[in-house]
Amino acid sequence: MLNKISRYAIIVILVVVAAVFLPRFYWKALGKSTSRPTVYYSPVLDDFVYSQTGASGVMEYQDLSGGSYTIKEYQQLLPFLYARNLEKWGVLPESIKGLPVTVHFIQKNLQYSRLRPYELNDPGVALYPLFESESDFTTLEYPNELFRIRERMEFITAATNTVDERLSVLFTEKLESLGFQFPARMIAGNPTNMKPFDEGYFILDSQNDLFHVKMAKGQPYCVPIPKPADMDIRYISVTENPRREFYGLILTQADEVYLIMYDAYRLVKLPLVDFDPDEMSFGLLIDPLNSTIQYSGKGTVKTLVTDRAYNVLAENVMHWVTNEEKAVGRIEKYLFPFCLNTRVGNSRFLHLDFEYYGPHSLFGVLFFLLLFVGIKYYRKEKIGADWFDLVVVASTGIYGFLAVLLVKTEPWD
Amino acid sequence: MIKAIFYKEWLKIRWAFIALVLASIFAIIYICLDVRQSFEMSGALRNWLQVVLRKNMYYSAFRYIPAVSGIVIGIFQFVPEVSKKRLRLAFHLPVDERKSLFLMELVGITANLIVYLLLAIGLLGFSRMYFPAEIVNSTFITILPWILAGFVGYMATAMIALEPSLLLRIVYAVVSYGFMQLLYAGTFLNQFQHSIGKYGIVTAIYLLTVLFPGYRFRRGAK
Repeated sequence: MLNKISRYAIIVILVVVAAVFLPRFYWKALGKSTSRPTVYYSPVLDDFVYSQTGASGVMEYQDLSGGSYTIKEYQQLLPFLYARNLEKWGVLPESIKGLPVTVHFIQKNLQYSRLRPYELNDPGVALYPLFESESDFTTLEYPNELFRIRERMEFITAATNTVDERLSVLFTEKLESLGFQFPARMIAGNPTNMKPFDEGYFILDSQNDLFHVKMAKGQPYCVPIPKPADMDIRYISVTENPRREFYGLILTQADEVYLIMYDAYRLVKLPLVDFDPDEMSFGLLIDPLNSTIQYSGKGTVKTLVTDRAYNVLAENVMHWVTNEEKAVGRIEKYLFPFCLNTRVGNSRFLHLDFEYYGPHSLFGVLFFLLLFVGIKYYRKEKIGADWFDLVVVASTGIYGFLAVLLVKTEPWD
Repeated sequence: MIKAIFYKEWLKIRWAFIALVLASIFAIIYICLDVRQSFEMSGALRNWLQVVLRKNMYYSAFRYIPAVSGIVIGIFQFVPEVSKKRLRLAFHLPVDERKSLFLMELVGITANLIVYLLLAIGLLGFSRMYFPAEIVNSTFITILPWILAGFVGYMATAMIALEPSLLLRIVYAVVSYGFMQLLYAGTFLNQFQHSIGKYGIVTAIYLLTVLFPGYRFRRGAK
């Protein structure tokens, strides 16, 4: 009996490894690149334009009414994005929709913020550098200590690996005086000195209240940020940008996206519909005239153009054929009953997640079950004693089929 | 009788085991000196930031040591048994064949465990002097899959050595290599934080795999 169990232990391991690697090999062998449209809003045409790899593998530049362009013509439709190229060609207009422009002006008034699914689950170490945000120097210097927030805010001096009591007490008392409830649920910032200035951290306390915390001239600058009581924050992305319009983005559990404005920490809700942060990339492109919000994934790219107050002026939805929808993707769902994913889109952790491929896979399972019985019959082998092999094939399809055929049964004692 | 089996196993692996213990001590000293030098040259903060911001693993020299240990102990334990089919003698002892295989495995697992504990305690112990608790915890989580890979390496070696058929040896080798690849898939720290349990379960299933090739060996299967 134990020897039989041992054989099935080997089979389980074969199935696990096959369920990770066979779908991977399948895609490596048969996967095709998908041709996704890249959509922008052209202030010249007052309409959307897009580029997409055509059937012949050549990039095509088009507008929505079917007009097609060369790459240079296309870039002239997008003067804010390609200002430097246009200037080099001597075709940068002096004004766009009445707004006088120069390359310098355009570059100062462009901003791009993104939110990608894999940011949502990122392995990390919960220690953060708190920069001096009102430094006398032009570059940001790393502090001598990193902070953590447990039952209080603690600064640990790197050189000695000990807690700096003065700073810890200073910040903890300041936070407590503002009603901060320890420990922190989320600490969001931009812990790099490769940024033009520092805005510190946005910290969610244990009661879901949001605070802005930074250091100014060695002193704590802490501000509680008013937010709707029912707003359940999932993720915060902070980006220091010289335009100083907003500190960053808030993603809520309800898949809404808010901007945290410099103007009195007002929260501005972006007009997203059917946004799925676990599957879709989000981008916010701000140019001197408009803001373009774009979110794409699962074969759909949705683009919204808004005015300065984020009211929608125009919107566009385009589709592309995903690999899952192509023949290669549909056949996969018949061939394999499930797979084990070690990497998933919304995470940079390593997983071992079971993904069921749906009822189509029953065809594959049935096929391999019949094939298995056929082989047994052809080899004139009895199934009787090894009826569990059938269970293995019936529950794991091609994986179990390969496993029970490779690790053949034995005449048992 | 059981004591005798333990003694026989110990005789087979003792030199390999002692060499691995020494190599582990050497490896830990090497990592310590490496970190010390790095702290001396670029300061503590920069080293902390390498971990916190870049997610670097200052202990990457640790990575393959458990797997090497597992495979070496597996070879020293099982290859002599299958050359000239010595294991067949053990199967004539008045101890159940499966019991003797499990006892052999127990000795190998214990020897590996001692090596891994030595490595882990050494690494984490000295990390505590240089790094705050958050970093030490991440170090612990990050080395766990490498330690699992060590056990898998050991049990796979036992399976492959005992298996009489070349085809199945290749199958076991390819599959075990594939599973170890998954355990080595991490490129920065903490990536197995949520899944280490699942990988641990698959590794635990490996404990049972030694019996089937052992049974085939006794039967003289082809």
